[in-house]
Amino acid sequence: MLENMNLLERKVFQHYWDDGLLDVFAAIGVFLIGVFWLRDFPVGAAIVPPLLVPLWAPARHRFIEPRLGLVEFAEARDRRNRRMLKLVFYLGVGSMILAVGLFFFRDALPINPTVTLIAGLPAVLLALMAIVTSALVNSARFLIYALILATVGVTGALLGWSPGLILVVAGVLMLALAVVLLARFIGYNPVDSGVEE
Amino acid sequence: MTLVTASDIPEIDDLLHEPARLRLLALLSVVKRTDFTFLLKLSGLSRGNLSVQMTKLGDAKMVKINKTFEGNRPRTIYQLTARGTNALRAYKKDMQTILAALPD
Repeated sequence: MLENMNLLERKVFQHYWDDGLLDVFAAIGVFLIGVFWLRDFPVGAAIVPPLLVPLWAPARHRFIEPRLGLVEFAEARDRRNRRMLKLVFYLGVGSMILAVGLFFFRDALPINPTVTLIAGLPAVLLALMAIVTSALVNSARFLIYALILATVGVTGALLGWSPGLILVVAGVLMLALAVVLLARFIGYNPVDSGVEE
Repeated sequence: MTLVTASDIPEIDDLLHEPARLRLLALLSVVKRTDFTFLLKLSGLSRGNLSVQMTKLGDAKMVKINKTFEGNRPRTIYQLTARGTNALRAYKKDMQTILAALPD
């Protein structure tokens, strides 16, 4: 491995995540968390990652690899990814515990929750996760998702929406963008025939 | 002013000193391993050209080639060898030497 190839490696890594599948999974995750919350079962958010994670590899293998190809990155990149994933995981768990706790005990708080925008807190915390994910996959797209989450979180809270509704709306907006991105990728990248290899 | 004489110019490896092959080796140098399709997308080369260049690099033992089938689709995996890494490193050094010796 050459030492001064960091820029090229980053570009290759970024290209690897440009298909939109991760975006779709993230949007579905936000949407499902919102649905659980709407059904008065916010702790159900905890089962969203175990629901989605097992689907990731088969979905990538089925829809992306035949079009984009296969690549394995170097150990240094894997180590960095593991560190960032841990950060995303702990940030997510911590955020949801904090958000659920604040939501359930909002009446005991010495401040008015309608003024303090607590209903928008879960979305804002998920926006922080989106920012970390943006750094993880070297993509500015996730900053847009962070902006959507934060904007819908604050706006929804000001409008008096519940945390569940805020997450569902943010999830639908994210999903709309993600599906367009994925459809574009699939449209521009037909399944590779394997001829002339 | 620096004068470049024949003795100042290191011998450049012809196999690497070709834009398509150099691009492919550079791409392979930043990943552990990858397949034909990924290289095709990233390199911008035609299928035929990519296949020819990778065969040349494989014949020179700079790239390890592993052909498999996934269902009825062929999958060719490429991995830069230690020889390929060393050759690329030497090429970079040689080119830097030459470029540094060039007058502005």
